[in-house]
Amino acid sequence: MRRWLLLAIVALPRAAAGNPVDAFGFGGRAPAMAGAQTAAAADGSANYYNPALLATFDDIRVDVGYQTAVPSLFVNGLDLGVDSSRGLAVALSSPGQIGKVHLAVSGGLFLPDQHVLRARALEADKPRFALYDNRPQRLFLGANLAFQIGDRLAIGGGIAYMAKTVAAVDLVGRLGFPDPNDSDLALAIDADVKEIRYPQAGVLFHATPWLDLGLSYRGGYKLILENTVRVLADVGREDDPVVENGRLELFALAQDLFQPQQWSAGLAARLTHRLLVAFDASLHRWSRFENPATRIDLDIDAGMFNDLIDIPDTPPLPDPHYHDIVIPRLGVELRLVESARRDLDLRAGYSFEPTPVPEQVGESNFIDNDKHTLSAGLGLTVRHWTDILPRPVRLDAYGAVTLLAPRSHHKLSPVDPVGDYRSSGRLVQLGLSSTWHF
Amino acid sequence: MRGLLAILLCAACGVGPFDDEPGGRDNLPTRAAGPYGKTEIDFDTPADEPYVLEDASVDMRDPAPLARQDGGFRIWFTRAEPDDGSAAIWYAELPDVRSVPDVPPAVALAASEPWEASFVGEPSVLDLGGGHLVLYYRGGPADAPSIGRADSMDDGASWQKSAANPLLDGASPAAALLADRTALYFVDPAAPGIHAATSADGLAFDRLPEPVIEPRPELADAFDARAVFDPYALVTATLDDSEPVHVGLFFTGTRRGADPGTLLDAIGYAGSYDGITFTRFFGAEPVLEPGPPSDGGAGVISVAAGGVLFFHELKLTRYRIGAALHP
Repeated sequence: MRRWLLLAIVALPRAAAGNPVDAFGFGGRAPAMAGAQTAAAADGSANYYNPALLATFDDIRVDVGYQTAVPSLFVNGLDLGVDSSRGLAVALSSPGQIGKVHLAVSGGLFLPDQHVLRARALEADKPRFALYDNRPQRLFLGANLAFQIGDRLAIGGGIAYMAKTVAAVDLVGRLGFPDPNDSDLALAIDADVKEIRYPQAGVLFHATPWLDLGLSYRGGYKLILENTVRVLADVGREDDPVVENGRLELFALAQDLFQPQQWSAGLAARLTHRLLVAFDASLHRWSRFENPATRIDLDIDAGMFNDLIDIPDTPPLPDPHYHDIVIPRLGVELRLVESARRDLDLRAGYSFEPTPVPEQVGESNFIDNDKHTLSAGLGLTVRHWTDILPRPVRLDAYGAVTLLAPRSHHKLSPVDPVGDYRSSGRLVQLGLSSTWHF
Repeated sequence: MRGLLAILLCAACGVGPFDDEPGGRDNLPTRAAGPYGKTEIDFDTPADEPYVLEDASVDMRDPAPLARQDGGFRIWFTRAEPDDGSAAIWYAELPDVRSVPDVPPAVALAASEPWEASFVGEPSVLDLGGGHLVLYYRGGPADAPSIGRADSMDDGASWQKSAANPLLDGASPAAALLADRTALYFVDPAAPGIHAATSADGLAFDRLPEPVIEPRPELADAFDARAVFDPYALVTATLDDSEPVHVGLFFTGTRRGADPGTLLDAIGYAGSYDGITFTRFFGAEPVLEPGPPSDGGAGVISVAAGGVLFFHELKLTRYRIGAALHP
C-alpha cells in the first residue's frame, strides 16, 4: 500500500501551468484587434501588452471581464479533448502626478476559473498539443509603474508573477519484510508554492499627432517542478532487520511550463479621425525551450544488498529543437457611431503565429501547427450613463477563430509506437469586458 | 432575452461557469503496436473474456481479422479436430470483443486438393476492395506444409482456389500489400525464422534468401529467444510519399518457461517501412502481456487511436481465440 502511495505521489499530475494571456490575449478590446496593442492599448490590457501606455491614461480605470477559448484540436481527425481556457480578467489603473511627472500605477490579473495553476509532467513520448496543454491553464498577475517623459515619450515596467511547486515526502521508520503490513513508518509531507518573478517593460513614442510607436519586452521563465521522496528506514522485522538504516531517495525534476522571452515592436496609426490601424511584430525566443519531460534520479542504500542493485543513469532527454518565431499582428478600429452620449467602435484583426516546433520525427510528440487568427469585436462607450457614473463606461465584446493549419509528422523509426500523424484544429475565443472610468 | 442579457452582464463583470475535468488525453495517436492488454472478465457481458471464439471440442486458432464497417470484426480462423489433426478455415463475425458472434462460426474453406491432405488452415486475408478478398492459407501436414491462395469476388461468401496452388512451401502465411507488390511472410519447418517472399501478381513469389525475423538466443530473457513463428502483417499508410506504407509484423516468440523443461510463447512486434528490413519493438519484451499461459497467432486490426489484437491461447487442452486491446 505504501509503495503504491509513493508511486502515486511521484506520478501525480503536478500543480502549475501555462499563460492564457500569451495564447489568447487580455481584455475585451485587444483580442478583437488580434493583439496588435504594443502601441494601441487603451485599457488595463496595457499591463500585458506595453506598460508604458498606462502613463497616457488621464483617469482611474477599472477593467473587468470574462474570456474563454474553446479548442477543438485534432490528431488524425480525432479530437484530443484539450481543455478550454476561461477566466476572469481584471485590471486597475491609477494615474497621478508627482511634481511635473505624470505617472500611473496599475495591476492586471487573469484568473482562470478551472485551474489557477496546473502542471502535468508527461512522459517524453506522450503526444500533446505543446502550446495548449498547460499553457492556457494558469494565472497571470502583473504590476506596473509607468512615467510620461515630456510630451512624446512614456516608459513603463513592472513585474509579473508565477508560482512553482517544491514538494518533499519523507517516510521514516521501518519497512516490514517479508510482510509489508508489518511496516511502521512516519509520514511527513512538505510542499511549497514558491514565487517566480519575471520583468516586463515598454516604451511608447508619440511620433506624430497620428502615429504612436511602441516597444515592449517580456521576460521569459521556466517553471520547474521539484519532487523528492525520501525513505529512511530499517527493512525487515523489528527484532531482526535485514537492512539497518536503509535509504531511498527519489528526486524528480520537470520543466512543466516555459514562457519564451518576448520582444514586440508596434505602431498605432490614426489614419483618419475614425480609423485606427495597429500593427505589431513580436519575437518569441522559443529556441531556449528545453525538453519538459521528467528527469528522475534515484539513490538507494540497501546495506549488504547494494552490490545487487544496479540503477542505470537516466538517459538524457533529446533536445526538442524549438526555434524562435516572429508573429505579425494587424488590427483595425473603425468608429461607426460618434455622439455626445455614446460611441460605437468596430474592430477586426488578423495574426499569423508560425509554429516554433519542428516536425516530430523522433521520440517526442510535441504537436503544434501554424496558427491563423481572425478576430472581430465591438466597443460601446457610454458617457453620462448615470449621475453616479458621469465618466465613460465602455463595454467590449469580441470573438476570434484560430485555425491550425494541417500538418503531417512522419516518424523515422519503423517501431515508433505513435507512428505518423496529422494534426489540425481550431480555437474559438469569446470575451466580454467592461471598462469603468472614475 | 433577459436571461441572455443577464449572462452577458455577468460575463462582462467577470463571472463565468466553473469546473472542468482535465483533458487533452483522448484519442492519442498510435501505431497499434502495443502494448496490449487482454480484455478483463466482465460478468455483465455475454462474452467469456478474454475469449471471443471457443469450443470445448475443437481447437480454434490463428485468427485473421478484418474490420467490419459498423465497428465489428470479421474473423477467419483455423478450426482443427484434435483427434485426427484435420482442419478447415472457418469464419465468424463479432459486433465487438465483449459479445458473442452475431454471425456464428461456419466453414469457409475446406481441404479438397491432394496437396492439402486433410489440413486447410492458418489463414491470412487481404481486402482488395470491391468485394474482392484474397485468402492465403496453409495446406498439408505440419512437416511438409505448402501455401495456397483462394479468391472471393463476393466478399467472402464463396471462395475459388487458385489453379497455381501450391504457391510455395511453408506455413503460417501472412500477406501484406506493399506499395508495388505483395509480400508473404511465412515459416519454413526446415529453416528457423520468419521468411518473406514477394510477388508482383500475388501468385508467383520470389523467396528472400534470409529470414526477416530470427530468434534471439543471445538474449536469454527475450520472449523470442528460442523460436519465432506465426507472423501477421498490419499494413498502414504513412504520411511520406517516399515510404508510403508501414508494415507492423506481429509474431509469436518462444522462450524458456519458469519451470524446468517448459517453453512459453508470447506475441511480439517488429516494424518496417520497406516490408523487408524489420526492427523489433520493446526490446526483449512481448507486446501482449506474457503468460503463462502461452499466447500466439496474433491477428491485429488498427482502430481509431488504438488496436484490437486477436490471439489464440491454450486453455484446458483446447485452443481458444481471445481479444486484447491497446491502449
